[in-house]
Amino acid sequence: MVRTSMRSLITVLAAIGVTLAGGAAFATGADEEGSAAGGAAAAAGATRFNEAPVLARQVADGLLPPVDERLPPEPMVRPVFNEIGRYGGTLFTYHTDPSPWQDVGDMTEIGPRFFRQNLDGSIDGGLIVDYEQSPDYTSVTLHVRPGMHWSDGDPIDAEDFVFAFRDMHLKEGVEMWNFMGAPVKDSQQISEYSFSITWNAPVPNIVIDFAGPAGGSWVGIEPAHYLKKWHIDHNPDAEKLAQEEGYDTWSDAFRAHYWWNPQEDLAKPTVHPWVLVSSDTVRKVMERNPYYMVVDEAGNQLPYIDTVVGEIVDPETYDLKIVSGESDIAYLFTTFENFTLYKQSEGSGDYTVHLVPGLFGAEMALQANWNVADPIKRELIQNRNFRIALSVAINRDEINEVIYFGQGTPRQATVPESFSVYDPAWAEAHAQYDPGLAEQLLDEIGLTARDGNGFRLAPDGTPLQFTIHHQTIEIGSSRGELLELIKEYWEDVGIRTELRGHESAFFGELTDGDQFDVAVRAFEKLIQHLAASTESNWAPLWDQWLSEVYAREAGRGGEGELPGEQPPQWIEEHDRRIYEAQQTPEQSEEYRRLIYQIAETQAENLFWIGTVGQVPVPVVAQNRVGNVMTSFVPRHVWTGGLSEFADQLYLKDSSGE
Amino acid sequence: MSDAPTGVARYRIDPQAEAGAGGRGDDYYVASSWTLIRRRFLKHRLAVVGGVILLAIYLSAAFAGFLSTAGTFERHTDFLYAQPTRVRVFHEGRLQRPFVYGLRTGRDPETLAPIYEDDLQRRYPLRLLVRGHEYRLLGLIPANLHLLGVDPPGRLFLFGTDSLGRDMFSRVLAGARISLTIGLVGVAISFVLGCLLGGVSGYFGGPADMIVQRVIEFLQALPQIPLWMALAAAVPANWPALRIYFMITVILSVVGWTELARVVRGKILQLRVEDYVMAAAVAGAREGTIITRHLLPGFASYLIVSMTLAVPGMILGETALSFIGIGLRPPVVSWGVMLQQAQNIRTVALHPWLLIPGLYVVFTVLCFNFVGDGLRDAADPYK
Repeated sequence: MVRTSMRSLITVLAAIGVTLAGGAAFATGADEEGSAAGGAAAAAGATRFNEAPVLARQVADGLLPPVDERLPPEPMVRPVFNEIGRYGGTLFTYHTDPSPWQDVGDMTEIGPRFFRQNLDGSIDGGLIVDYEQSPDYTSVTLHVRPGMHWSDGDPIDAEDFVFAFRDMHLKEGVEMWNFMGAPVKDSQQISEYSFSITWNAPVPNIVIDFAGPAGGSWVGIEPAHYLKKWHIDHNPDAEKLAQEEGYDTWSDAFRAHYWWNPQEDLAKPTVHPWVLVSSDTVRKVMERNPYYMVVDEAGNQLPYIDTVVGEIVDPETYDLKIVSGESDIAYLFTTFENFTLYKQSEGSGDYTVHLVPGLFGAEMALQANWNVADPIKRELIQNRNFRIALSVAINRDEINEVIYFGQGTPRQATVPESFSVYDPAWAEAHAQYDPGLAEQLLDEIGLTARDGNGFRLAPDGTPLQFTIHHQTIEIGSSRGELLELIKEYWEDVGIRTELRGHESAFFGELTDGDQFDVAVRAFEKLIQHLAASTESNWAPLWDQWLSEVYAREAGRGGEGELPGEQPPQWIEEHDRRIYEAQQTPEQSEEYRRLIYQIAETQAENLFWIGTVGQVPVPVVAQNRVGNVMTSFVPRHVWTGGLSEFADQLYLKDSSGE
Repeated sequence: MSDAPTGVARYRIDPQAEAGAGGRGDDYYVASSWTLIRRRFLKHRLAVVGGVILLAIYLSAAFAGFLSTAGTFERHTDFLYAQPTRVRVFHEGRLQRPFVYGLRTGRDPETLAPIYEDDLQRRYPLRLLVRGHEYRLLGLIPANLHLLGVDPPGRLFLFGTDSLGRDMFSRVLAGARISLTIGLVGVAISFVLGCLLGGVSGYFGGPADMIVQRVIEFLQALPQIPLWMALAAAVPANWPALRIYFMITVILSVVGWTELARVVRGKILQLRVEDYVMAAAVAGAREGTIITRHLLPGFASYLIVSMTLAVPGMILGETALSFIGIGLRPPVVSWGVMLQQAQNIRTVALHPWLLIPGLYVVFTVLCFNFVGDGLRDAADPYK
């Protein structure tokens, strides 16, 4: 009899509520619905769970332990999108980038994680089945799902998690991504399957973070048994071993064995559905992980597909492979501007184009530099009416119609509608097309004098010109066309505008200082974008000042004079609200109030000037592929998040052998 | 080319060649060398045709405003990706004066592709000399007269429209202005510098040769990509794309004359010991005269070939440096920019008319090569 545990769909709200009370988050126990499906599966074979024929043969040959021993007693259960799949086959995918960001096999997005977020926003157990959070949100005790294994068969216990947090996050010389609200302070193993983590600051939303990249491979779990021998704290001879292997220091050797971009050590065990077996600059091959700890509702061990092949091609070839039907599934590098191209060959390529809702607040948003060096421009940009004039001069409906075939949403730069706290007024603020108002505002500011071409002159009579800086990668794409339109709209109201492209590294450097007028970039859904700090460059000098102030408050900063410039009081208050929001539970009334304040400040002041957002993303899948994922979990900001559901893909034409 | 120097051939009596020359009358022997060059060039049919086409393209660029049917940046938002409008002469089986049908527009609900259908009820005859959008004739005189057009609300998109609904025909004409001029400035600078410095180096030898050659080696040793990156970073952030491109072109040609200079030097080294050059020197000709009148014509054909080969490179290279932000890029209208925007399979599959600027480039390059070919033959009129 199969018992599917962890299926109780407890909403985030409930989870937090329970936690506040200091209790356990996830109920465990038998599930009536699961029993029926499990009964059928059990009848099909002598084992509790079913496995792929290719693995069954290895078991018969004595190469692998039986499936029931490989799976934990209570495996994770994946509710499939459409139907229970068939085992076997090879999935062919293409990528434009040799890094691990790729369709299906995306190393940072593919599961499993500590917790699993469902499409409705509810959270289930994953690698972790239970947790207790401290009342001040600075520490959490986590209980590991018992009986799981690494892809090499070694058992997974709390040590593997503690190794990642204590021996990697906290170890000088080991580079780790954080993805959590605050830096890790400590991590301790409590028992075989329990451990604790503490942070420097409150992390009330850590469960949601742990349902994302923070709770997956490369951040929260690493194979301690495999990596220990290269780690100086666990092997006193690690330096010697590193030198034998040809590295300078232990940390170089350690990095070579654990790092994933690119993954050099293919022998490193994983928890992913597929294991990388070969990788070079043109082709990657992944084979199924015999110890993958997830089953479907019928008790079949996932993934269904045996092999995933990814070939690296140039972007045009990528689109050709899609159109010719050679790519089984594609979503990471598809572009909406190619929708018609994909759609027209649906029949001949034997595939289907699905559109998943777009989550960017704006495909392109303009940031005028409040700290620009030129005093005249600085005064103009800091004038709210000037920014409003720039915003209402833009014809967003035309952009949407011309560039996004009417499928996006003309809106101001703000959080998308799917965000947990949302008010339509934020998206409508100064987003109307009103060149008359723009001209009137500009006249009122004092930009009345014009040159021979009809462009407005600065108040002191000198020529006035704004340059929009962008990355050269936008040239030739729909985003480049969008910029051409912006230039025309602004010139129509008399603001002389130039476009200037930069190679991306230089663009990053330029937009960190006071030498640019206006920069343009995608506005992702992240609420952080609404403030001065974190990836926002509308006020780089203030940002430098604030970042250092925060660092010193946390006891990490340097000495001496503060860098950048001190922002006005209200900007600092606005910026601090973001940090406050990050340290407030997402379901609380306080969080809602903070987000309202933050978003309203953005809507009133237009730190970012939005254009068109929520443009859908095409997912192109061969008709032979089943259980194609066509929607996101709510917190994901990019299409890579679809990879989390890749383990349930199957091939309808597979023989099942 | 033959190594026989022009000056020598002039006085050599070659009975066989004379016999072979057939119809050459007395005027052949009394004609000046320029007359001979012109005659010889005109005999080269391809070169003449190429020259005429080039002239036409340049004239159309100069009078782009008059010839165009819409403004360069004028967007017809209801006509995105419209196919080239077909000019017809038959309506319901009867011959008419040339006209176009009105367009019914829509969007395919499935593929979101724009759809354009001829509206047979509405016909718009082509008219000559119509009033339309404003432009400046030759960049100076405000005007609004156009060669060809239809009455509104009819639309005439001879080469179709692009993604923003801009008329490709008008843009191709406007693009020629940049594509056919700025690149040539670069070629010209390289050419002058190469001939001059190579000539000085080869003719005088000694310390002059030494200095010029070491400078050449220094310039050739400069790694190009880092040089461009440094230039890209050094250009003031607020310069418009066209000015940046012009400046970069000039800079590149200032460092790009070295190959030509090497060849010129070699040729001069070879020719300066020829008897006729010695004779000129003995006769008291000044050095400048010897170089320009006696030496350079000796390998003019090589120079012409080198020039005509450099021109297409310049046209095609317009956008090559865009990736580091110093090439031409939108909203500048040039053939290279238009082609760069069309370099994807979406265009090939759905909007092939966006590749028309490519045809222009091919034609122009061919014509330049034909003309160069003709000039090379003509430069040796005594063969």
